[in-house]
Amino acid sequence: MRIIIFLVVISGFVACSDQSKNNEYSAQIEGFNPKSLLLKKERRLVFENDTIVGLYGSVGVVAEDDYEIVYGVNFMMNRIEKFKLNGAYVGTVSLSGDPNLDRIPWSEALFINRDSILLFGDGERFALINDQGTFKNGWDFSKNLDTDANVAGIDPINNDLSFFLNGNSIFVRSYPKYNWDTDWKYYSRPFMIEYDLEKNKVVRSFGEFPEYMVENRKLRFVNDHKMSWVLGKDGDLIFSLRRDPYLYKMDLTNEQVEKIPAVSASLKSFELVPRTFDSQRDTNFLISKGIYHRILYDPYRDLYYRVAVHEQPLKNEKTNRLNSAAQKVFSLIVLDGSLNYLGEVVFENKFEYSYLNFSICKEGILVPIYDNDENVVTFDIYNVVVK
Amino acid sequence: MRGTRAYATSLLFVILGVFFSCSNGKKEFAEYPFEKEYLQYLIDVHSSEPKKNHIYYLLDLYSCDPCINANLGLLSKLGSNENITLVYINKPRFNTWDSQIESINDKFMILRDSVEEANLYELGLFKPLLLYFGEDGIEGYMNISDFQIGEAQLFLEERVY
Repeated sequence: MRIIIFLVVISGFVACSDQSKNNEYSAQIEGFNPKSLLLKKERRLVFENDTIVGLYGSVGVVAEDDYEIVYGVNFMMNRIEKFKLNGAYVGTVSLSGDPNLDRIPWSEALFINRDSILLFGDGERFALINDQGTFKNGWDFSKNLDTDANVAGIDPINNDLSFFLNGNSIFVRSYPKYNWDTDWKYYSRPFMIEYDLEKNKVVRSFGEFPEYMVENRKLRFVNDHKMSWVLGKDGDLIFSLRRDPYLYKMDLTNEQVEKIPAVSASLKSFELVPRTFDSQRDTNFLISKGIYHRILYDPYRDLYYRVAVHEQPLKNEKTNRLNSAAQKVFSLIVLDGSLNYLGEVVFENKFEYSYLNFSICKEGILVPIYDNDENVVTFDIYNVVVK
Repeated sequence: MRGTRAYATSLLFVILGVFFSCSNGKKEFAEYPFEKEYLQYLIDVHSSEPKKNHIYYLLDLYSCDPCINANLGLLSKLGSNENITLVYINKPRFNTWDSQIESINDKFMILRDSVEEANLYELGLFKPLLLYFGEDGIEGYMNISDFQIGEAQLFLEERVY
């Protein structure tokens, strides 16, 4: 009987200590030979005008024949500011005048061309406008989405673009009926739908989270439910998960997925938390911990850039106040057009740039600068150079 | 037989001991865990000291529309009360609620944090937040989810009405 008691004590001890041991997810991949890359600043653009507000949640570039237009969206004020990249401030479009656009909390914008800007917002709403702010078409998924166990709704979940266009379809992040914070089953369901714009209906729900998100029923990584994605040059979907050293390349026709190594030297492992809801804990994680974020394709240089956001202290040492989750040191993991890993370059000055809203133009990577002056908007243009 | 019973009792205590030693690590806060931060926020941002027997109702006007609607609806129903301070965080994105906010403002004490400095503090402010200051600091709090408007009303009525 003493042996039984001893075993119970030992097993209890092991059960307790296992939880603390397994609360990290390793993100190491061996066998990389990174090339030596350099981040080269090309030039700075400064736009001044009394009507400029700035503070963009999203920045996009549209190329015309002989010039490029930069769009900056201030979602808080429902306005889009326009600039000619090699010229001046062009003007501002308000989204508040049209009843189809007004009072809808838009939070994402895809800039296709001057005639087509697609907005996505809370309430499962899409709107197609031109760059004069004229409403052209709209879709209200809250009215035309048949919900089931796999799809309870759609949402701008990603903190990046949560949708893309391909062929005649909108592909958009969907969510099942489960809670992403507390229920592992959320990660056993599809993460996107394809909505056929000609047939006006959902034609499939698909996309699987990796197994590691389901295997651990007790622990999760903050923001496991978010991802970033981009259509690759061959029409495949390339997506980036927040704690995953691999990118995933999905053939959209047959849904086959291939893993592409794209690890950051700065992200060694990820601390996991219990599957409970704790908003301040999760906020503190987002402020202080490192994550993978956006994935962009640069068609002018045939390169992919994967953003790795680095760790930082939770609080500012001088003020003892919380740091910003949007302003952190970040790096670009650079892959060639065939998704071969090339190397990594770091944007050191976290107080100047944000990893959330840079874009690609003919000259390079267009990075908006944080600026408190309402009437000035500044961009830097960078390129990655192989030494 | 007596020996076996003794062992069984010992075993029960050991199992219970192991259970509690595990579950203690998961204990959730019953008290508002950010009182010190909130006091600092009041001083830094609002140049204000906490009042006793008083409720602070923190509402982010740039959060989700249904949350704002539900909370403004509750505030509109309540009678005037000088023991409630509304702390408005951010500005509303739309002017939809302007007249409703104006009439609510006449009923309660108001503090404004228009540039969301609350986000620089650990306040646990994911949803609208009720903080009740009793005689000895914060003696009750509630994060108001959209489904708990009724409970929030009870929370207010039991303490300051």
